[in-house]
Amino acid sequence: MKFLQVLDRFFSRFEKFVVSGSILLISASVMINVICRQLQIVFVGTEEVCEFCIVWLTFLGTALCARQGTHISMSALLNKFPKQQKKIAIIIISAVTGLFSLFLAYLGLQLTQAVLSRGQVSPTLRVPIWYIYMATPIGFLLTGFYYLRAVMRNLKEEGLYLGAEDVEEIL
Amino acid sequence: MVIFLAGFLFFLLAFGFPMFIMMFLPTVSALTIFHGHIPTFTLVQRAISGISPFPVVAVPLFIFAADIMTKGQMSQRLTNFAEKLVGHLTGGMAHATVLSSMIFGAVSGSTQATVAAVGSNVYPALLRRGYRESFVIGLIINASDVAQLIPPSIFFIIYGVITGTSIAALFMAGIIPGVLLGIGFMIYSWFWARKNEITRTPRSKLLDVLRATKEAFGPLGFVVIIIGGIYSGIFSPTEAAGAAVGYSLLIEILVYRIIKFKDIPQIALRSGTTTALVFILVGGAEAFAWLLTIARVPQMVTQALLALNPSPIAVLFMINLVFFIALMFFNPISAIIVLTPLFLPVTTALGIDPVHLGVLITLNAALGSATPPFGVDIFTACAIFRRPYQVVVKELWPFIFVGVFVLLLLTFVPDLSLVLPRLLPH
Repeated sequence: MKFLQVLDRFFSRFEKFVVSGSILLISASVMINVICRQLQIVFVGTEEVCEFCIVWLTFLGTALCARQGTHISMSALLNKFPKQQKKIAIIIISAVTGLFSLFLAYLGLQLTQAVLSRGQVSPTLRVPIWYIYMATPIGFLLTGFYYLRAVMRNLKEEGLYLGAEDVEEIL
Repeated sequence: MVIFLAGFLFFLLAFGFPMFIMMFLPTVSALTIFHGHIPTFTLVQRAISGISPFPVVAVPLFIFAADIMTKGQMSQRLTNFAEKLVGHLTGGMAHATVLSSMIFGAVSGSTQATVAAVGSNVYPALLRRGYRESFVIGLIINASDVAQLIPPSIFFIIYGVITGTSIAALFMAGIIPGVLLGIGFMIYSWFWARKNEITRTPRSKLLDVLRATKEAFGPLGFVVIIIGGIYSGIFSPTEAAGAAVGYSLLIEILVYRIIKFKDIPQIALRSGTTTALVFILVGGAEAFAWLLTIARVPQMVTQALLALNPSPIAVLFMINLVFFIALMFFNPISAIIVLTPLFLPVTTALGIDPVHLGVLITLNAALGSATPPFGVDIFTACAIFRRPYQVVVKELWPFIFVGVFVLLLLTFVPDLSLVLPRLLPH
């Protein structure tokens, strides 16, 4: 159990690191690019750095939102249900979402393998393309895992939970 | 297949599934059932290619800049400035709300960010002055629509990327419509305030106005950088977004000194989370739109429509209607990505300017996201102001009516959108 907790803390940190780090890296590289262009210095690779960051940010961010249960959904109808039925509905939704996310992770893995076997590299920085695609299996795997954890949490505890954890107030 | 997709989509929607599942689950099933020879992982690849074009990078950058300003002092100084400027008129505080949304819209480009940034500043002030709660919320939600039209705008960036239209031209095209919409809301507020006998506050002294202007120098400089920079051709929209982040950090950290260096990763995390929420939908919608292309749905729509031999106005009218209805139910960005490719061939064949179409679709998207039953801004407002749904939607209709009026005006008079982009240097 101790090991799982350590692993969980690691993933939580990893997700937050990727999500905030990507934003900072994108900002920095676009700003440097602007300055360099004004000074007529050629600065290559901004586009590829940004593409890499955006993809990782999106899929790991999806996992982070799943962990905290903040994904956008239409809860209007659901909120009209009495509490007990609502709980059942949330369990079904989370279970389907979780299992399907695991399937998406499997598709992402297939895709990564397909790209890996072609051995493509990016045009300017010569980074293997599959580094980008790797974000999908990892992101969806964690997403699926967190939704299933939300199911467990709803089954075990009283009350309604959309995510595996409660949202931390950031600002 | 289309019926299967639509049915599945509405089922998931009604049941309250997360939006990204609504985009992926029907697409994956439909592809497997109806087009088994195409590897299913192609959908994941489409999702990735939906979020990786370079101009899309402007979206997280503008979100980041807006978050920095909201956390810092700029948005507050802005509302203060607007209040000093127009606060003494009938319905003054309401005008100040619209005006700050317009200026803040020149920074953020996202309705939710504007609701949060402007709304939380003006909400208590409006209530204190005797404005009714549901009017106030209706005003704040709809005033934030203006932010989508005034550049930079996330909807314009996405529309520009999927249609290959110049984002700079779209940005310029949105200015006049945005200002018109703002004026429309102000006129309605004026009548409302007169009917409900809101007491007027005395005019601010000239000195106070000047002081507020000086204090608002930071946020106002922003407008110059973004609109001026893109307009003069110094910046591409993405570069303007980078400059916006740099500028807001500079002002907030070095000049106002509210934000510290160690706060930045926290703000970036917040912006990153917002971006991921939006982008997983962009990716999903891209996969969805691709599936429709595989099934030749755009061709079917084009043939069916052109067979009717319609006038351009009739087509635009119909597109408005389809978008308006779709947006009552779906997330605006997904709707833009899925629906635009269906109509683009028709409008191109009829010689409708894609920039004009972009303005109409964006205004629709903004209005639709404030329209009951499921407009996303309504739920944002419920969350931010902690008010029940019934209170929030009670006085939305007059504003939506004003919005529809502006929409029709823009539909019939393309020049309102197209005059400024023509002045852009090539």
